[in-house]
Amino acid sequence: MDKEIKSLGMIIEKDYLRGLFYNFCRETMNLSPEVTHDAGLFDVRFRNGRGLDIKVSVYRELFIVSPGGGVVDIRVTGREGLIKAVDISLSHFLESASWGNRP
Amino acid sequence: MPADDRQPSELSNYIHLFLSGGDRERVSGTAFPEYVIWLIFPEGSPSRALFASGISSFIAGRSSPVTLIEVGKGLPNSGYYFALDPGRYLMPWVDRGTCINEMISPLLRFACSTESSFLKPFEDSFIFSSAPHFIINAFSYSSGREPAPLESIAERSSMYSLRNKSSCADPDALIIINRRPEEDAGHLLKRIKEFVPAASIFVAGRPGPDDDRVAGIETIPLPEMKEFKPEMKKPPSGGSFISFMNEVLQRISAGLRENGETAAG
Repeated sequence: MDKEIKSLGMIIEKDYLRGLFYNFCRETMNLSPEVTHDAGLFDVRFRNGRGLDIKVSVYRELFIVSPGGGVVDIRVTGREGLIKAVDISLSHFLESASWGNRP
Repeated sequence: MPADDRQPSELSNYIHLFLSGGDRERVSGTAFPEYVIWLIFPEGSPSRALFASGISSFIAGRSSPVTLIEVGKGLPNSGYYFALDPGRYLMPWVDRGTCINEMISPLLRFACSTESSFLKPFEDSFIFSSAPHFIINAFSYSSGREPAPLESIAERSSMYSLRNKSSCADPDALIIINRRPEEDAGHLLKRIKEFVPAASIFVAGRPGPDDDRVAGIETIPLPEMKEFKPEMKKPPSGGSFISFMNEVLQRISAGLRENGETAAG
């Protein structure tokens, strides 16, 4: 796991929720080798240069996933929120690229 | 006439090819004609689910029962395109060691896990049909590591056979799809040739520099699928995909006939 993302995750108090945050970030980076991330003090942004833009803001008791530049916000406090966040982020990723050009 | 405008042939128009020549012998001694097709993708390729769901739906949509087995860590899996509830299709990713076992339609069932050792059999029996049963086995390989243990994949997928669950489900045909041209898949191709020397091997997409090092490999162009919108959660079904599938199945059936004739001497 990237150092910046690891240290960002330390804002989250509960180990379980922090683990979900790391899982989400790992999966987003695994979507494609083109996905890059840019971590700030309280959030991280994933992009692929083709329109993918997922912002993840981190708080003590939750993290918020905002695919598509804030069109929708998904509050993640547990498993259900994580599933919703991954599903919507996946749709956003697939929409962002023409499949034929992908590796 | 553009390829997309051609009237697609029905699988039933050439399904008899799967049952012709020396292949009849193979069928006569068994309760069900059955064919195993492996779809092999580079690790992390989002095309895995796309093609696995599309190919399975295409065959099942033409009245042949299909069992799709998908193994891989990367998302999406075919459950996304089959529009399963997110809690269902993401289950193998969220809960390590779990396996999706879903009936997508009366003729299409779907098993999916992140590793082949996590695959589980279906509890309910599958449809009995005079049409051939297709086992579609979709999985990933990594060029940087030892290829997936092919014997183990065949052995694990045999639990989905309608014929003889104690034997290995060795592939009749393999399609390597959307490989990265910079990757050396020569080792994988050689392993496949050693494992199943009689199987037909196809590369769908750009041919690699090492393809000519292994004899008997055919190349199939990938469909353009400009009309396809992956975010729609629906397997591809447009004109270019149908043309691709027609070519794939015709070539596979031709390969099976050749192998049958060779085996018959």
